[in-house]
Amino acid sequence: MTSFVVQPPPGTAWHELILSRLAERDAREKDAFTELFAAHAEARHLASTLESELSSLKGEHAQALKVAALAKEFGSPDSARRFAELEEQVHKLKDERSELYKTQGQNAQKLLELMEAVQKADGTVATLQDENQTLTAKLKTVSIGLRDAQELIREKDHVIQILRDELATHQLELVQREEQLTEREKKVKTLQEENTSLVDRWILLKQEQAARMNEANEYVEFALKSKATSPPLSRQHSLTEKIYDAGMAVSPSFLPQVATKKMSAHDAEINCIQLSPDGNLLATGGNDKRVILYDAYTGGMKSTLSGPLQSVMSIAFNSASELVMGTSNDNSAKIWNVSTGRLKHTLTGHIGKVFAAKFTDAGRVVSGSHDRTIKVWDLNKGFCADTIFTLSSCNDLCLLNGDGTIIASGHLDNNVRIWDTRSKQLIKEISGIHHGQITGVTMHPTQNAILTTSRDNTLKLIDLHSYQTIKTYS
Amino acid sequence: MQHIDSPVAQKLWDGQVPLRISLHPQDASALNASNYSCFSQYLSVHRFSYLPLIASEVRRFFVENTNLGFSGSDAEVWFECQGIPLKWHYPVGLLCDYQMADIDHSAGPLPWHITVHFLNFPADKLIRVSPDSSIPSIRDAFMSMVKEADFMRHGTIKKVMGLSKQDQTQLWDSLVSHSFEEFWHVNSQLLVSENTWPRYVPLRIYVPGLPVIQEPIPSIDEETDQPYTLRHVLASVLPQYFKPRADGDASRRGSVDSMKRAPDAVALLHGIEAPLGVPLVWLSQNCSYPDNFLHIVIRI
Repeated sequence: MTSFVVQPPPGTAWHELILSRLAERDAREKDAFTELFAAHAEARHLASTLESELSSLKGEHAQALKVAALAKEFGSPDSARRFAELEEQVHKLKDERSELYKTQGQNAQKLLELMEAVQKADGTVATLQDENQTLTAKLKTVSIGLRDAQELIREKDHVIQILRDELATHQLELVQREEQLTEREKKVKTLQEENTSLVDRWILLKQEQAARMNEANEYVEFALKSKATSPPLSRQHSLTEKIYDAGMAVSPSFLPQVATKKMSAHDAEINCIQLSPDGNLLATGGNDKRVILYDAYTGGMKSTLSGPLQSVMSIAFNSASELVMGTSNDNSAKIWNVSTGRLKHTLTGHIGKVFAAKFTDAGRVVSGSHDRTIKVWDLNKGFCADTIFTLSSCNDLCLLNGDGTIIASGHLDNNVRIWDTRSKQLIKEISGIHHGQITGVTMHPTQNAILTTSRDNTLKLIDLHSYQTIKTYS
Repeated sequence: MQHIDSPVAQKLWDGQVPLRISLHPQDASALNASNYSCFSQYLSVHRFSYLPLIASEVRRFFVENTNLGFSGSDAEVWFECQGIPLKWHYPVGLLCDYQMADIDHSAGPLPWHITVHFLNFPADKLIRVSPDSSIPSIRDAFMSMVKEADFMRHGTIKKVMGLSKQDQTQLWDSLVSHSFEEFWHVNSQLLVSENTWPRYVPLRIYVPGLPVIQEPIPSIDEETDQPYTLRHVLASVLPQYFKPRADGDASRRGSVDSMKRAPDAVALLHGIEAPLGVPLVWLSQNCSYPDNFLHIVIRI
């Protein structure tokens, strides 16, 4: 491969020498013994097979000897004796067998008895199972009753919770009331003082007047005496005055039969319409969540007020026609300024749809809701001043006096209720006049009566003194 | 493989030693062997083989033929000759040569008579291997010798470590299965050197009664650039037994004559007298044992 490797030099003396010596060695160490060892191994193998054969033959021999010994034994006279012994054994065994038969018979008897007992037991088991079934049925009914009772208890608990909440609000109000009471008492005291001073002055004035009167009387007596001969006055003027008054009292009334104007403004149904107290504005509210103001004379749209999240259910103006209020199904009432169209108040606090609301002259708002409350709101402070629990959803309400201390409300339970908003007391519950829920109440402009509308398709005029129906319109 | 002298290598590979193996009386009685004195195992063992490789065969023979009550591992089996334990990590040929050269403990005529032991492993004289690993251990010993030889030749063991895993396995397995072609297919890769002489020749010299001699022997004379012969080496290492023949380098052919005239001791290699005029490099490449060492026994 390279020059650095010593190539095998065949033919050199030492190379031949090595090969020959190796051959010599193999002859001595290997070849001489290979055959010998093979022969030895063969011999060893043969010897071992022979040994194993020998051992097996020895075993067979021993077996054969045993067999021979057995055969000898059977031929001997001992066998006769053994035969007799065996017969005796057979006898014994027969006796034992008959004994066993007896016991078997007894056992059969016992078995029969036991079978009867088992049948009886089966009968009792069946009755017990029946009883068990009836009992489980009872248990089921009882458990159902129990579940109902538990549900009832849960409902009651819920009601109790609500009542507790109300109690808490009442207590809060009580505290406020007491504070107001003390203030009022102070005012009353100051007023009484003023009153006494005024009375004193009044008495003085009266006395002065009386003095003047006396003077005048004297002067008149004197004059009558002096003019006893003058003619009496004519009464013509006063008569004409009376006729004129009578003509004014009888104003002509007629039913409108022709539509003078048609305005289309809302995208959905119109729920309410209201004319402002000064007669300049007309407002409508509808399911499109808007309140729209119109000029009442021209019918032109003035402004669109949006903000409620649900349908607008009622509309009210305050007495100065500055503010317009819309109540909505989103549980709130919103108040806008009429001239700017800007939202002024949002009254939130009801937990049901607000169906009606009215301004009072005292800067308050009374609202009735389907959450079974009437709330009084102070517009100066902007939050709820009072809450009246009405026991039924309020559909409509009206003020019975200007400052809204007495109101009438129409309810879902067919009743009209009269409330004192200062004491939050029910003055009167008028029931039995309608057979459907009350949808509207309105104060008569001149008489002390209210007009109600109802789902029983009638309108009724109710006298507020006797609480009796004066008239029914159907 | 051009530089491999195949006739010589083939003959060395096929060399065998006849063995007569008998059971030690003490072990036999301790293990309830019967008729052990009648039985000796006769085996022809390859000179390049190792004793642990025949341990299981020997054990089977004695268990079958003498009802030997031995149930331990093959690692417990050991051999001795004339009372001297035989080193299991030496090739069988070396052990035989050594024994034949030892005059004090002469082994007598062939077959070589050795004794097998199953008990009382002489852990103070022989290396102990853990049970159940006798074959892996002898393989590890063999591979470490191969690596040592490679290091002596080339100064590194890159050649051995560069062998693929399969080749490393094949190197040993071919020895176990005694496959000449498979062995040389791998071993020739270890011999090739690139444009240089081997630095040192892996050589061990055994003199009976003395410690083993292993010295770094250069392969060529630096001054003359001539390869050293066996005589040069032996004369320098063992001057009391071998004379440095000043005219030895006259020619290689003259070495046959010089052998006759020499009163030298005899260098035994693979069971033959090694001619002293042989270049050491050639000897190393062609006449090494499979572990790539030249194991030379000196008979005085």
